[in-house]
Amino acid sequence: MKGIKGYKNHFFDIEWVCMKVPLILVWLRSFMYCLAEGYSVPIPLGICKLFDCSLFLQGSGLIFTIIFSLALSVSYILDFQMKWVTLGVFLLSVLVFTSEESSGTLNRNGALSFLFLAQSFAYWLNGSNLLKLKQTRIQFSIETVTVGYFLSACSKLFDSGIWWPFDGSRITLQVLKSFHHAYYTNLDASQLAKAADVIQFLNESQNMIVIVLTCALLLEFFALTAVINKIYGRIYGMALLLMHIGIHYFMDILIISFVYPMIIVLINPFFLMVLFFNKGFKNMTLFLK
Amino acid sequence: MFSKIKKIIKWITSTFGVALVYIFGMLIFRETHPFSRFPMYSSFPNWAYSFYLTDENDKIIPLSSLETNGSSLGHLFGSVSDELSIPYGNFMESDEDLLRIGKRMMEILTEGRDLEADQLELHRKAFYYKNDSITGQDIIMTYYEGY
Repeated sequence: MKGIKGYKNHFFDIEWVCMKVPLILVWLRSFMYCLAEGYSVPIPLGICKLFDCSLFLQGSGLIFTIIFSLALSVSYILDFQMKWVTLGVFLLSVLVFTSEESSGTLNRNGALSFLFLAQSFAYWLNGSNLLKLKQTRIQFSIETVTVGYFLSACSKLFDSGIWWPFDGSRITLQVLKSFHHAYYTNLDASQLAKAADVIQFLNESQNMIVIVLTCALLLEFFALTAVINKIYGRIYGMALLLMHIGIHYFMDILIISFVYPMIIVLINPFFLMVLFFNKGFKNMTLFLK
Repeated sequence: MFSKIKKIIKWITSTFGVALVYIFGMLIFRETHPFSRFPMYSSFPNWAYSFYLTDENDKIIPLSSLETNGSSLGHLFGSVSDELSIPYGNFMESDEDLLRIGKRMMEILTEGRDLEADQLELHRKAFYYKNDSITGQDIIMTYYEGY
């Protein structure tokens, strides 16, 4: 496997393949889910204020959107005309996910959309410099994923100040809300029983809440440092994954459009699997280079 | 000294350039897709709202039967309140506000759907701390008849 020597990180071709295929599949899944909802854009936001986005979500417009998104996805996987394809995926993504938000559903797909614009930047800026392109298309993706965490930390500091973790005792209200959301969705009574257990545990673990929330805030705030070094970035990704698993367990919240791109871009598990199957454990150190 | 600063700026822009573009985009366009400051749980206020529907027999209707979920209904409450320019949270909404918000939410929820129930009631289940214990409050925001 031939490495690309960048100014700070090496990125292999196979890393890009292992990243882009699951990434476009995650995008396509969220995208098709949105189209299947048949949103009618009752509360226009963003670009949907400029024109009627629902034209692309119904009738012949819907067929065009589906065909166009599939064509872009195939081209993306085949690395065909990437300058335009990444830009096209970004524009389509903004159109459809803005329609979703304009229907009152907030799935936090912003970073997922922007990922493709970031990759487009790499192709437009470094299209003639293959070495730089191979580095920047992954580096820009990592920047996009991590800036979301950084801004989330800034929001906490801005809205609640540095003492945000110490307000954490009231997180029980949010936990109760989340489990009630889950209950009202399918009337699964076990959700309410789980809520009672989790709340009791949290009430008995006030000091632990402060420690966990402090760690989460620090992890989010320094997420951009994952850009600097690839190995450090992978370890950082695993720490963020642990944070998401904790949030999912205690709050029943999993923001797929946030978590999956983070796993794919920062940890890149498929690349690690390829290394393992091709070379075995002893050469796993390849990913450290 | 000047060349050192120049080097640092060059390193920052080459390492975090795209992140900076996103941050500037967020500062200019605020919460406009794809930009966001991702304010999930940026504060832990002393209130939390959840919403549900009941039929004419006071039975809770699973939101999945309306192709939505509890979380989406919660977000819809926020979006509709913003649309109607009604400040919300911390129990500041008046009965009239809740009625207006509820009617609009029902409009969006039921648009283009064939509903089995003859009557729907939209409830707001709220939680807050009172004397160190969690208290619940259930309010009927609005109801629709004649489906």
